[in-house]
Amino acid sequence: MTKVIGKIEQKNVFKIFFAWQEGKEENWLRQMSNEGWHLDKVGLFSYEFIKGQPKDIIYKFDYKPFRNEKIDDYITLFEDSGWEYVARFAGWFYFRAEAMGNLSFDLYNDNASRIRKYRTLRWVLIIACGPIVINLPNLLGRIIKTLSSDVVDDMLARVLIINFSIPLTIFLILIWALLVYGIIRISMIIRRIRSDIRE
Amino acid sequence: MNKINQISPLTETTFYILISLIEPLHGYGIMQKVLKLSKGRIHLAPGTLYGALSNLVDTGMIIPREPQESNPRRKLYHITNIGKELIIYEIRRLEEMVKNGKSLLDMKGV
Repeated sequence: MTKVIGKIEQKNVFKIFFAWQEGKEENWLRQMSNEGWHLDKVGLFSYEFIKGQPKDIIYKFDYKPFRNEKIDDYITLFEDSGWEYVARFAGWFYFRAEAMGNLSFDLYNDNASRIRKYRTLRWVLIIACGPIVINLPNLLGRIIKTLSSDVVDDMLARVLIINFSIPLTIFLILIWALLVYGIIRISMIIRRIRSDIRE
Repeated sequence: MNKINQISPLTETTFYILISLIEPLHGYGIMQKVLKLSKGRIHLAPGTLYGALSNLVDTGMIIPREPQESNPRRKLYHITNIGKELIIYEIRRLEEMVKNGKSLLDMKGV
């Protein structure tokens, strides 16, 4: 969807990337910039671009789920070292810099600190599993109890369970499975970095 | 001493950041100084630098001071006494590594 506001041409793209697909997302944003669409805002599976001159721009993401008062220092440090802050979403910070020849850029210069980023991310995913794991047995128990009871006047309870509790449970199980899959993928990234003997 | 044992050995990057703070610097100043000290070998990346500074602040090795008027957005980092002790401890550790490496090589006549 492209829209023109004043002289600025904008477009919104819906696209799904998961936390373990950073490389894919970076490459896609770089390709968009090469076509003249530069990232402006990020939301849940949504990306807002502004039309400009095509440029080869590298995008990198950092993960920092932290309190607001520290953000200024953090962003200043990145901008001082040549990274432009673009957007943030759910703890992810999007930075970009113009590509220069074969120079490789990264937000990290050693494996020890690179690993720390993914460990933080993994912790957040593990904590996010908590409420689901705590509530699931309770929900499942109630569904089984209601459906297996022979009391006829429990019609309303049955309708509620079938229309509400069962879909909710399936949804929670799917989210939980996705989180677990994410934790496994992030652990694999950590293991890959660890297998590199450099510090 | 306990604190020092907990965070030693420092990574190469963290060691360079700490010794560069023998005089107070802000983030960008640290990057430039480390690049110069390492003769262009260590390009500090901002994610690594930010993480190392947070760790050094949390463990009391350095203290951030509020920005001055000449440079209102940037905090200056100052090394503490325990931070200096950590440098001395790390230098001893590195000297031991060098000494052991050299003497074993000498023994084999390499």
